Amino acid sequence: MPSSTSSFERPIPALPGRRTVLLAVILLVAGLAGWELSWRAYGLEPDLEHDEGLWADQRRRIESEGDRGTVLIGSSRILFDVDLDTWAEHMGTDAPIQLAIEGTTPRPLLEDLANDEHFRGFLVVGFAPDLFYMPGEGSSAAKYVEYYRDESPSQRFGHVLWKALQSELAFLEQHARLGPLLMHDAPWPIRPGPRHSLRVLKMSQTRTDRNTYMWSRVETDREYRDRSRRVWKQWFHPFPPPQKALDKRHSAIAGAVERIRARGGMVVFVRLPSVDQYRGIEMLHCPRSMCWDRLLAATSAPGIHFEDHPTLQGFELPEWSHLRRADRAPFTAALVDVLRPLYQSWREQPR
Amino acid sequence: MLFNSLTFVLFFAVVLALHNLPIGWRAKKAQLLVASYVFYAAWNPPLVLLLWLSTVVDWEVAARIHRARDGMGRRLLLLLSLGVNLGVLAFFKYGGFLVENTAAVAQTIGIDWSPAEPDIVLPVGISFYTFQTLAYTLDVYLRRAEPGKSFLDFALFVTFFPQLVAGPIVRPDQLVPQFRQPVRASSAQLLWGFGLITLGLFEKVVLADTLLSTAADETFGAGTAMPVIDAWAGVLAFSGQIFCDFAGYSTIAIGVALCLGFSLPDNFRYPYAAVGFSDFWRRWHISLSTWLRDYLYIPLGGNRKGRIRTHVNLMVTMLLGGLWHGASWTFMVWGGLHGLFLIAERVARRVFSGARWVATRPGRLALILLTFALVNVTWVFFRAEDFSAAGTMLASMFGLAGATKAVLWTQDLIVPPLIMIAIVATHVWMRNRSVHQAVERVPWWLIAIAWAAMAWAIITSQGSGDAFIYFQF
Repeated sequence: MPSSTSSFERPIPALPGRRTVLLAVILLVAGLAGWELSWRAYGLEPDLEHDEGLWADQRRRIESEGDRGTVLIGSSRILFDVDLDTWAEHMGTDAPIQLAIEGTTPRPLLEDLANDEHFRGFLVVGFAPDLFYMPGEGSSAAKYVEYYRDESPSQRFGHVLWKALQSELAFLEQHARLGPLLMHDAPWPIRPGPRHSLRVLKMSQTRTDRNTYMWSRVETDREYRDRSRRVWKQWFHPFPPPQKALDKRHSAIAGAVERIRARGGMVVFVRLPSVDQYRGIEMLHCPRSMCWDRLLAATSAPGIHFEDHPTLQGFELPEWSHLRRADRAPFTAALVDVLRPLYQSWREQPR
Repeated sequence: MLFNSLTFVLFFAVVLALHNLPIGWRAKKAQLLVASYVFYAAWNPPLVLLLWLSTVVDWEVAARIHRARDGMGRRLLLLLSLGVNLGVLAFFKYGGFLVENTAAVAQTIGIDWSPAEPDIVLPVGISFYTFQTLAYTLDVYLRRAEPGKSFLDFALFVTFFPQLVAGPIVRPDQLVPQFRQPVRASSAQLLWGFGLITLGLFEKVVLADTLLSTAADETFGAGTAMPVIDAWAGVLAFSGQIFCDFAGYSTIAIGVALCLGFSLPDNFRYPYAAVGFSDFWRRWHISLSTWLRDYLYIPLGGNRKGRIRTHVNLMVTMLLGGLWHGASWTFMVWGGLHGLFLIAERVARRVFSGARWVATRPGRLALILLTFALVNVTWVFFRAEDFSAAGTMLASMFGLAGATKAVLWTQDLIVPPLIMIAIVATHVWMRNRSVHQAVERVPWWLIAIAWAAMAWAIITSQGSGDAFIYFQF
């Protein structure tokens, strides 16, 4: 038999084991403690990552609560601007299931719920013009749905452990990870040619039910807030797709809305506030007549546009796109008041 | 479950604790077997049945081959084992590829056949464990070994979780004898095992995932021609990524097994310091290359049937080795290039057999760098999505692309090449040494600092866990 395949005993280096392990452990613990303290000094607190696992936890609730519950989908605005506790209190129901995902289109989520026979509830779809029409295939939303379908037992269990650790240690926050800090945020010289993008900064704090609010630094640190605005500005390029593609997407959305409606569910689109340069870009590239109005016409679904309701205006959006923490509760209360007639009419329809 | 996941940390802690309980050896082996099935089922529970099928078929077939008296009977039984194992592999791994290429051939001869794209889940580790069970049956058939006496030992050999899903592909006589008597890791083995686990995780989490993957992904995903510097930075990044990812996994597997008291063979021996391609394949994925040598190359005749036949045998072995990695023509081209370079090396050895410069230090270094450069060229086909992307990348690497567009940021032009210089330098220094010898020469406090630094970097880089590249094979 060739020697490379013979049984053997692995040689072990002769080392003073106890001293080596002890020193390594002391150094590791000291290094991690220092890292944790430095992040806490910066203002970071333990926070849950907006990952597929956290999303899947909420998505699973549809199986038991999808019959009569309220679900929120959309991008980051509906994630940040709606306070789930205030909603529950003002609507007099259980808190909605928060399935919005930042930085992506909600269309794959709408399609997913349309295909799920368990879902016959009240669906509120956040409409952000710059993200709503982006390609669904390959989007974060599509990946989250795929993860939910294919989640292995190991991944699910690992997520439970990960949540437990993230709830205690600030440095496990995704924005504190070594890789992006070294390879993205460090002041490397800018090379002319490749498109350099600013990384989306830490913007939020999240609970296990994905109730999310703006991180305090965005509100209190002017330089940080200005950086956040610069991050958005780098994406102020033309959108949405041409009219033909837009109509095709509206048609697909209408199909999904109709499937939910046919089962006794209801879909309402909500355009949440934006201000200043962000709102200007949205109005320039995706005016109401071209996007919002056509969406409602294609789907025959009701829509709530913040511009049409004075109670949904006048709030503070530090980086032009999301409400500050203190404004979430009053905004949510106002939104619930506007939605209540629709919600009640849906509750009263025969099933 | 992934080695770089919290689930595995907890799983391993439980397994280690159970393995060190004062219970009988048979019970411990049964525990390890159950743990291994749990490990595999954590991905996709129904696919445990395939693992079980492979185990049962080869155990039974090998026993019958050993008892069979006539050659025809033995051959038929071998064919049964080959049929089941390779059939399962063919269906799950190559089913889509076969359908797609059959349709393409049909189209070229005027038959309009557009089959639905099969949606077949690739069971994790199938390429590894089927080769492992086949080795057992083939050894019995070739009368290199007798069938085992304990089904428990054999089942544990097949499913042993440290090496189940991405190797090393272990031979029966490397592992089964270790199951015959009780083993428990000494404190030195435990320490060294955890050290290897840390090293492997550092290679995977910090080097491969954090520092190298972006440059590789950006360049291979660019879809456009790029400057020479971008192309080479991307290819070097991938060569580092695949090494650190795969060698990292093997190192973790060896460390985990060692913590349980078992020794797995080396799977990598500083391959980027290889002098020529024969040497490369004695250092890269050693368990696969020796498997192909023992069960394909040598049975085909090896180098015993004349020069031309040797070259043919080499090419066939490497082409199939390429195909083993994935159902794609680019993998076959990767394998074919290695076959070509192996043949060219044989020719070159005859031509330069008297050349003294080859044995000098600068000469060997030059050959090491030449081998490394050519290996990088072959990696283009391994990584590229298709031939068009491979062609664009190669043209970019050699300045033949015409109009180009810069892809990488400054940090991705600097960090991956620096890491690769460090890796190649380490490989050159270590090529005739072993890591345990090197570690013995370093002061203990420096070992402790390096260990703590690697662990710190792993913990502060790690998200919830990324899959290893070789899980797709």
